[in-house]
Amino acid sequence: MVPVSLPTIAYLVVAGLGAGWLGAWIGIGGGTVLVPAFVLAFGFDPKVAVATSLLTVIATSTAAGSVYVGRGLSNTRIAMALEIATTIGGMAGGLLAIVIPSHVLAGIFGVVMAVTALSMLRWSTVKESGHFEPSETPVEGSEQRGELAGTYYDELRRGLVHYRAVRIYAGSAIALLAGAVSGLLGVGGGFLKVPAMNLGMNVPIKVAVATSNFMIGVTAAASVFVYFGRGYVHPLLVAPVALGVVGGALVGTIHSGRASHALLKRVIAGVLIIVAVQMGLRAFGVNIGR
Amino acid sequence: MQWVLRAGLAISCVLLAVGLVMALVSGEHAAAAIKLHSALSAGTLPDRVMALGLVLLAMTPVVRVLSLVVIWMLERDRKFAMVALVVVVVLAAAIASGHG
Repeated sequence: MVPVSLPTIAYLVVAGLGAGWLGAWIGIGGGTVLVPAFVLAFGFDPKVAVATSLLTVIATSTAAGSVYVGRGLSNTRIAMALEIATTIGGMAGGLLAIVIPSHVLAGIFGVVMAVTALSMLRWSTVKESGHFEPSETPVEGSEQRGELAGTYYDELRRGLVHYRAVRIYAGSAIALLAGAVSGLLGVGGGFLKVPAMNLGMNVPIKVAVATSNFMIGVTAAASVFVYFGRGYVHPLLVAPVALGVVGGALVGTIHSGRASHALLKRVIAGVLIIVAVQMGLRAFGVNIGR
Repeated sequence: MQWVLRAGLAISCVLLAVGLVMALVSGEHAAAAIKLHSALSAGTLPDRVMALGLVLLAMTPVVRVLSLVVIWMLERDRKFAMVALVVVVVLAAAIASGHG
């Protein structure tokens, strides 16, 4: 039983709105923002924080997925091929998290957050892949049957991009890690999956992002049931956040597109590093700020 | 498929919202934990309504993968139907481990 007051519920909705909006707007949000918020600001047990976050990850993935798949950007074959590894990782991560002491979990989260923050600051290389075929009329994206290949319409360059994914086993290795990180820490894992697909597997960035969006929901589902079974899910805590996240994501999607991401990413990265340090100190039993 | 997903998400959200309001109105002061096997049978009514919404939410990705198995079999893409089936098996194992 976690004691809960009306203001807490309101704050949870606000936290969800913020995370959902941020996630839809710049692609980093959800778990990376919520788990530290839950632990540091709301005082949740890290495992409860992870379980709550995983459910919001599923909500975001489902909400975004209905948009992305419709536009023919998400490659469901690549997604499923990688999901074999990711779901195994997710389940393993969830089972591992159950036995690891909570403060150690917080410490691991701090380390991963620091890595995410650094990667946001220093490394936003994007690889262009595929064979471009100019075409004035927009065509719906498609996947090749039986292959890890497909086509999507690039509205900016006005043409079709034909791509083929390679190095599926190396990609699966990273997907396994991404799944474990997701199940352990309650994050989506997109920060590992997108580079793995785009940089490692020659998948165009737009397809990689859309496919990752689809994947994170499936991965989160693999690990959330583990938490469900051990009493870490508290409906009264999850409901306000989940509703907030869906609302925030809807607003964020309407909003996104024009904003300058560079400065925002620097600010976010800065905040992440501060929070990463706080989470890291938790591992040693040091509590600052609350 | 998209409207199925959206409908599922909408129903989950309605259940969560209704359950949340019920909990607030009845003055619940503590968040109780639920377990998968007793999510719909144990606990206060508001908790059970929210729990249904959460179970539905958690099952949405599973339904998505199942639908891909069917779609790909209909498209005669045996290879990927099998791939998706493996993912379903892993998910089933995950659900089973949650019933422990």
